[in-house]
Amino acid sequence: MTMTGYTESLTPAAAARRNFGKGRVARIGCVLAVVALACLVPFIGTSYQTLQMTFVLIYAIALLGLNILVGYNGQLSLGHGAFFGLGAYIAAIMMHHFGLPYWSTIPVVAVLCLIGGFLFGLPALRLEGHYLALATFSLALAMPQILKYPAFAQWTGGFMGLVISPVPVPAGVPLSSDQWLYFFCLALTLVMFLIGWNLMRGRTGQAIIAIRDQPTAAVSMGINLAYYKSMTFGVSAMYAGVAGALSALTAQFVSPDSFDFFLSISLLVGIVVGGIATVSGAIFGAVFIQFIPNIAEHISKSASWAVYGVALIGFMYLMPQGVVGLIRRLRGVISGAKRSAA
Amino acid sequence: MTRKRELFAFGAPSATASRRQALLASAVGLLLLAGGAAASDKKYAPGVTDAEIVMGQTMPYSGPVSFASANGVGDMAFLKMLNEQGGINGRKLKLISLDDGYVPPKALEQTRKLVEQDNVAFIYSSLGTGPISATAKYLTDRKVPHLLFNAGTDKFYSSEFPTLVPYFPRYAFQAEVLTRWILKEKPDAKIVCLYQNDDFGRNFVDGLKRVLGAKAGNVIKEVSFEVRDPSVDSQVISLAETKADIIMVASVPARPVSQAIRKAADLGWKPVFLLMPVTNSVETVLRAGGLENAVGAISAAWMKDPSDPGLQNDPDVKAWNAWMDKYIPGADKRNNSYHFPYLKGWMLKNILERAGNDLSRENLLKVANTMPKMSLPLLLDGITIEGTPELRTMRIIRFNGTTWVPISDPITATQ
Repeated sequence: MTMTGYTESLTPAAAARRNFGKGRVARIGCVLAVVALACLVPFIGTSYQTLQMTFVLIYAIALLGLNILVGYNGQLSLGHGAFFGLGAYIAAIMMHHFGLPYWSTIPVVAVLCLIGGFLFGLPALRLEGHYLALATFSLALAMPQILKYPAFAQWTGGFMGLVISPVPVPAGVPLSSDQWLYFFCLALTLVMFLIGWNLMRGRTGQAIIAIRDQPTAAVSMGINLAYYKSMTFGVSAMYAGVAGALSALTAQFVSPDSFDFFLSISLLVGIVVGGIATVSGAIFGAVFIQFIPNIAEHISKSASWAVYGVALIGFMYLMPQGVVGLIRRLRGVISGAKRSAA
Repeated sequence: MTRKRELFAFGAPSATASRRQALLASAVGLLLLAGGAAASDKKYAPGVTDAEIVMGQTMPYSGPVSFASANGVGDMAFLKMLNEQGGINGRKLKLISLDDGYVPPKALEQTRKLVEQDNVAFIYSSLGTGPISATAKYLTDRKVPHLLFNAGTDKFYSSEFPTLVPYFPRYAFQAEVLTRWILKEKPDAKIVCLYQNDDFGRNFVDGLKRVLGAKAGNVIKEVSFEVRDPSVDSQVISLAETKADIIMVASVPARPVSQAIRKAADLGWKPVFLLMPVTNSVETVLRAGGLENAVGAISAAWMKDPSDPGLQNDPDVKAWNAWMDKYIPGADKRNNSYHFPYLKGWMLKNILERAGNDLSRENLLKVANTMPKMSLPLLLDGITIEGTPELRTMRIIRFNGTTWVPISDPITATQ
């Protein structure tokens, strides 16, 4: 699992140079087309479908964050649902108790979750591999109980959770509340993806990947292992937190049950299905975790999770490197065919 | 079958005459409708046609409380029975029951699917505090009725959510009735509480102390447990040290209650067990704890437990058994998640019948909140509903070693 992203990015240098201009234009065109398509969604679909697509965007943000940690940095987290929940609760508390506007919650959540993730990362990252997975697992398990804890109940609403008012549409904008929220999430998704893409292609990204592939070599080249690992954890938690805040705005309600352990596992499933160590894989993973459970329930009500399991195994069997891995392979086959035809 | 009891069996004599006239009038109205004379009076919500009424619900078919999803199975089975009997006013009933995994955002998403995509007329009895909380505001804003919702959490009964129509006695009522028994029979008893660490458990402990009022100091210890905990032994040991006279056990699953009964007996501690109406079943709760250990336990009840060995000759229980055998064969009849849908189903039938051909959402809400005074199959003798379908009357019951025996007249909650 750890090598795939890296080896795939090592295309022969000459070929890369030759295709640089062409590939880049095609890539940017592709991204613009997807964004244009995404902008059409709320006008084509019903408000319910817009809601579903809003959840897809939210999951995509969380998955990108988790992928930076698991895919690029090689650290396993079973507890990102906890940061998702933390972000949701910070946003809900700001809106419910302090009456702050919805948009103001996002930067606050981002900063607090970055700090929270960094601080959790400092001691936890002394633990390697499976041990870190267990530490994050405990975080996911503890989160619902912490939220229920009576001493915090005046802030968290205890078992009952918090109800927050719907996101208002700015005056003069001819959109419904669902449509506006969708575009708000879409804008944030673009920003977060841009940040993620920039981060991973630069020096920091190389350091993060180097730590995954060759930690000893990375240290000998002067990379501060503890700092980078904790920071990666913090950034990853920030993504999860922002996604959580958006989910709170969308659901207009937070409660301890919303952020159970299963959410953490779903996120992990999402990055594996989408493609480990890929940026665009987050979108495919988000589509999977949003829609496959519904489709599974449609196929069989009594054994929906069995259907889900079969679908998951099928995905892993047909696309061992996720959806993005499959696309890359297909692209390789097509360009290979072109070359041999020429 | 039990129609004569269902309709106005407890009406005051003076009121009965006018009701009879009303019935006659509506019968005439129905005849006219059949002739097509009043066809223009039909008002339909989305999901309603001349042939069908479509409703929706979400249930925890997966997730931590999936044991409760038998409620959805029971609802389906009841509607199947009604459909085989010809439906209601000629319309078949269709229930779309979706999985929410007990995750509130998922419940909202599924509920919006039901309302916006499947075009249901109303939501029927979705289950659980979290899912209902997450959908209450949306349904209120959209003016979609949520008939006979499945939770007892106090906040859903407020005027803040006018489209939520209750049937289950709110937890505060249940706590009040039990506490009034303490105040009357054992006013100076020392009380301890063993409660499930969630809104259910907290509602009961808070309700107990509120009704005790000046005597709230008699509650000398409260210990909580998690539903996931494999055992409550350590909690019971710490409570036994107080040698209290009464232990209130607030749990939704049966197992912690059984364990508490058995552990207390093992420790030689013999308090009066105050059990919640949802977990007082002889077969699932008391037998596992030892029937002899549970003698003298106190609880409240509004409906008959069809698995109670002392009730097997009751006509309602026989009818319920026949219904189970036909529509949910092989199911565990002791599971009370199969008892509530049956009671609730008769309420729904009455609401839809009285709504007639005005099946608009406004009228469904209006009819649901103006129930005539009536008893229903499986309700205890003397327990009736009137106005909203919420059950507000209960009887105190005492366990005699084999069955529960009512020891009080029906008590109506006041708070």
